[in-house]
Amino acid sequence: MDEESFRAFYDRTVRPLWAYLSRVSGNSQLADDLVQEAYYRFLRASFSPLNEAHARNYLYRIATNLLRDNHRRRKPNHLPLEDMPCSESTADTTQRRWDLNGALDDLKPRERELLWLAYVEGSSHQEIAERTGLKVASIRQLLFRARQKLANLLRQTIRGKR
Amino acid sequence: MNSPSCEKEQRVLECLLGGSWPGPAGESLPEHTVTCPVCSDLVLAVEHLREESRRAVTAAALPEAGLVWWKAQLRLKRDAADRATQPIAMVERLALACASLSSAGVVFWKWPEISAWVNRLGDIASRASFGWTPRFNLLVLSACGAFLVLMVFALYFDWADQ
Repeated sequence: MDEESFRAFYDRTVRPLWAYLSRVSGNSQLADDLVQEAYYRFLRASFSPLNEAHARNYLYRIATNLLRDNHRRRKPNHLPLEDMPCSESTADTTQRRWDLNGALDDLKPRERELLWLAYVEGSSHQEIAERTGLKVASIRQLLFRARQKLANLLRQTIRGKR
Repeated sequence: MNSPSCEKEQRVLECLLGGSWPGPAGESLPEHTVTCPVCSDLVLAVEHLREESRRAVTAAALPEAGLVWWKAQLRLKRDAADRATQPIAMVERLALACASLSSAGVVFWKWPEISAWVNRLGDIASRASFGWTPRFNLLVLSACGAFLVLMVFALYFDWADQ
């Protein structure tokens, strides 16, 4: 990949990739490091992608492996709320972020990966399988369980506040 | 165990990812998501995840593509240089380790001969009025020992540096 095509690819992918790494790891500083490492490994591999989706899947696969390596090395380290990037400061949005972060904390890293890829990235089961290394056949079941767990946690939080 | 499914799940997901429900003439999907447990979980999970994603994407402070490219190129060059010099460095370390070990081995194995030789040397020196004394011999031996110890330290630091 030459510099020009890398720049274009980077500009298209870096923000969603950072969001994925940040929210799955629960640590935005770690996401900063992992993003750079992911692009370095992507360039080092010097493979010829068939198309944009292929390159994107490959990049996410690298990022997912980095997340797993990091998770194996240490327990996830969640930043305090004040360290999280925030563009709004209303009590309502802050509280909602707590809800989600708290709910995400209770999910396994793999569940967070699946939910993010499916419902934020809008990836198909095939793409999720390529990005995570899981079997396509098991994605549906795992995704259903993760979604149910997240929804129950969110409902519990909402009920708890009433 | 098969997870419960809903025939409208995929359509609901498409609408959620697309950001809008079909118009009044379309399906009554919003009403359906209230009553269907599968789709209500889906709506709850997707809305929270996507809200979090929007916030993360806008708040992320990321390096420029050019900087990432430049850093990756530097690292690739450095890694290539490291790989190229690795065999040389390995042989150097091995040679140093062999020299240190064999020197120490010879000193321990041939200690009686070395000791006798040093004493004889001292006798010759004193006979020749060089003024060498047993204390001087001890000094020579201590210097040799210190040299060996220093070699071991040098080897260790070289290794740690690599």
